[in-house]
Amino acid sequence: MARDLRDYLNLLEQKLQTQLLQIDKPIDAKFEVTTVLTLLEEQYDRYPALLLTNVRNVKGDLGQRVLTNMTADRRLIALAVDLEPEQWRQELTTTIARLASQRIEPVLVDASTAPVKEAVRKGQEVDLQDLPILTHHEMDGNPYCTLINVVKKPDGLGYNLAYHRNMYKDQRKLGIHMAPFHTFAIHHEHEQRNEPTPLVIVHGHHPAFNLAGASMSPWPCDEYAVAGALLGEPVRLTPSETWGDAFMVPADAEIVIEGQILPRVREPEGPFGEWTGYYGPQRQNPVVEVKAVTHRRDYIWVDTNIGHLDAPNIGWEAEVYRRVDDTLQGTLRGVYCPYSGREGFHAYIAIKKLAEGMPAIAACAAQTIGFLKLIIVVDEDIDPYNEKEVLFALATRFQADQDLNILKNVRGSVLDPSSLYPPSSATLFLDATKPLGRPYMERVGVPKELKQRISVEDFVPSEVLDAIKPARY
Amino acid sequence: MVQVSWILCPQCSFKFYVEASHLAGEQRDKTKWFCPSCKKTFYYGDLKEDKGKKNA
Repeated sequence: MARDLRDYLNLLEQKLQTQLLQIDKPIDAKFEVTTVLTLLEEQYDRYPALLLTNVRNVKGDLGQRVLTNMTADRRLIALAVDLEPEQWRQELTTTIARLASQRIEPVLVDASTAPVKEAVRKGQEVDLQDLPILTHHEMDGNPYCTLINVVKKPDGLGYNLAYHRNMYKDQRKLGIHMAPFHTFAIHHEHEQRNEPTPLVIVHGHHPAFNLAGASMSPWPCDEYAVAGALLGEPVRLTPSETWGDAFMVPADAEIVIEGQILPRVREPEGPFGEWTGYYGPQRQNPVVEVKAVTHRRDYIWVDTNIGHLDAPNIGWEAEVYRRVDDTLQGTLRGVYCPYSGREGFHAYIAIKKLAEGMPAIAACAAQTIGFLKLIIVVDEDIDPYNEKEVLFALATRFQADQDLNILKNVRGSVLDPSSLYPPSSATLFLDATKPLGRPYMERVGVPKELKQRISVEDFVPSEVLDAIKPARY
Repeated sequence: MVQVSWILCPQCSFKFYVEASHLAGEQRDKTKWFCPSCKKTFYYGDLKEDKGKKNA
């Protein structure tokens, strides 16, 4: 059986049951789902995936199923790439980096065996209001699709998968915001010829498939093959309703929306609460004319609770890892893009420092990904996944007049509220590694053998331990 | 900075922001924008910037 969302949910129930909550109470797609998620975050510091079984669609009819917050917890992403939940740190970053650089070519299947073709609506039969498209934040312009957009590259180079926001406009019309990357470039080529750009939105598949949309694969690469590598098996593709064999869609998706980005048409799109934690402003953006919607009969609409922990940016972290690892050749120990930097603006890099200058080389390699505004390089004894440790290194191994560099006028994110227009940014690089060639003070500690021999429970009963409240400091 | 202009919707008084600063004056005035709250569409030239920001 092909790997799909259902397969993943079964695995999640087996291995991390507490992190998948099913909610059967009626709930509105407009603000209510995201309010529940926000309250879980703000009041309880909890980030489970939510499977809501009785959601109102855009028309207001109850009975739709929505799955959201699937990538808020790195343990859930670890499961998606066949790791154990506890392997959510270094193993997860390196596994995604390794898999995303491999390829497993897709296979073609007949539409009669494709679950996504169980229900087909074309032309005037299409009504996007039937879908439970969520309105996430108070100032959002409309309901928003928040998942994978697929476009075809020119010259037989295959398909590009990317996360884009698609604003619901009417029954058969969406908006799209594209940062200046691959989808943007492909649409630009079509637009130069005054041709529409065929586009497919995949709303629901195995989360390993979605990771391909967050990867930064090189241009000559079919990202359906990257998705295959992340899934560990070929993606099953089937002909689209609109373009037939000329544009293939994933057979095991929950929902596929087929449409075309119209050339030289711009309409207001936004605002939308973005991964930066701010509303991206309303802009004049392209328009998608929807041609067909196909789905499983009992489909689950998958959503990303963007603007919060549920961001797909771990693909960037894996790509930073790959680029630095290629450069350092065996001395990289870890890369973490923390939530404090919205998983895209900050990178903490741990290295085994063999020579002065290596931290700068590591930072330069990381910076090639773009977007990064703060890169802190630490020694291998510092856990890059522990922000307190990274800041400790900064406090005790860094002097601003010697260990600080700024790279100015680099490409930034159009969604960064502090960037200039056109998006221009700067990268701050901090070398928080100990200098080589001179004695350095040692960190405090107790004898290691005592830490192994002594158990706290021998001195403090476990019930007393459990009753001690976490410290506030 | 990414220059956003805060707008007071003339229809429903909802406050929101748009990015129009990179458009030339006349071109900008002829662009259409819509209020996220009441969904009405307006020409930029007919909109009023709002310095107070934030909805109550």
